[in-house]
Amino acid sequence: MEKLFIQDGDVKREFNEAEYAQYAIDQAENKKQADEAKAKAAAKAALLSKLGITADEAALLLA
Amino acid sequence: MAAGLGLKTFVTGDVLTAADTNGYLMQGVWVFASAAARTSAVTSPQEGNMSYLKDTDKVEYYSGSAWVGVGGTPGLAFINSGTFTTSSAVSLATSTFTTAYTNYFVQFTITACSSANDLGLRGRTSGTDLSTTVYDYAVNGGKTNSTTYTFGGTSADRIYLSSMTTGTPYRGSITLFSPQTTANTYVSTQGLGTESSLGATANAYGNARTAAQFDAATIFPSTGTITGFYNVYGFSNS
Repeated sequence: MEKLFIQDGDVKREFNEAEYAQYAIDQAENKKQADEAKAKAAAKAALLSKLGITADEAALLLA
Repeated sequence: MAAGLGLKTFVTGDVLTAADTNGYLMQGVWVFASAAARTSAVTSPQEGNMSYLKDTDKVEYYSGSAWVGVGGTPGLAFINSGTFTTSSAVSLATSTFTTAYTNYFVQFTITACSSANDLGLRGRTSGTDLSTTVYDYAVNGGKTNSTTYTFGGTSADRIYLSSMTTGTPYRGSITLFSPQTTANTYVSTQGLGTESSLGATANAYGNARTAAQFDAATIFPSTGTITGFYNVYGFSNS
């Protein structure tokens, strides 16, 4: 794993064990959220394709 | 030392008495090496006496009961500042937040970030971040194409402040309300960042629903590193 550093007050130091563990949790959560956003965007694109309209046209319908 | 007598215009032939000397001529700004030196030299200060202390570079007056800094208490009291370079997280120094002030103001400037990311904030106590899901947040702003955006959440593991890209890193002012008390810590921010690849204002609401008493905070990108600087101030209560 790449080395990560924290600016802790006046001291720049490498992450400690707990901070690396939290970072791993945070990255997993980030990936989960990114995957969900990607899936949502893909579903939206598929629906627009099925309807045969563009995103702008869909926005007009909802306005 | 004698009390000041005010202002007197001497004319030719006046006799300069000891009382005149002490009451008029000696009533300037006395220069001392330190407060201790002043205490030794001025054993009976009088209301209105003035001094300059060389060790602190401060001008003070005697109020009748104490030496008081000229200019009063500033509304914003500087606490500390720092710089950071290619850091994955930035933690304010332990004991940045104390009982000396109720509310705090952080100016946080990121001059460079290694990748597009979302900036978050967590409360910190005795060198450890609180990373449980006690945070609520809401971010809104306007984009350079004249549209607006908003996103938010509850029971998150951080307060989101803004999104940013390498082209427009976050710059913002963060106000923390009562971080040192057992009541919830509220956060409000005004800043700028990026939303959907466009430059945007980023105004955030945050709430840490916890009795934890924070003595610092950690600000960190969701991924990559950040470079920049910050200043922390306390809001004076009087």
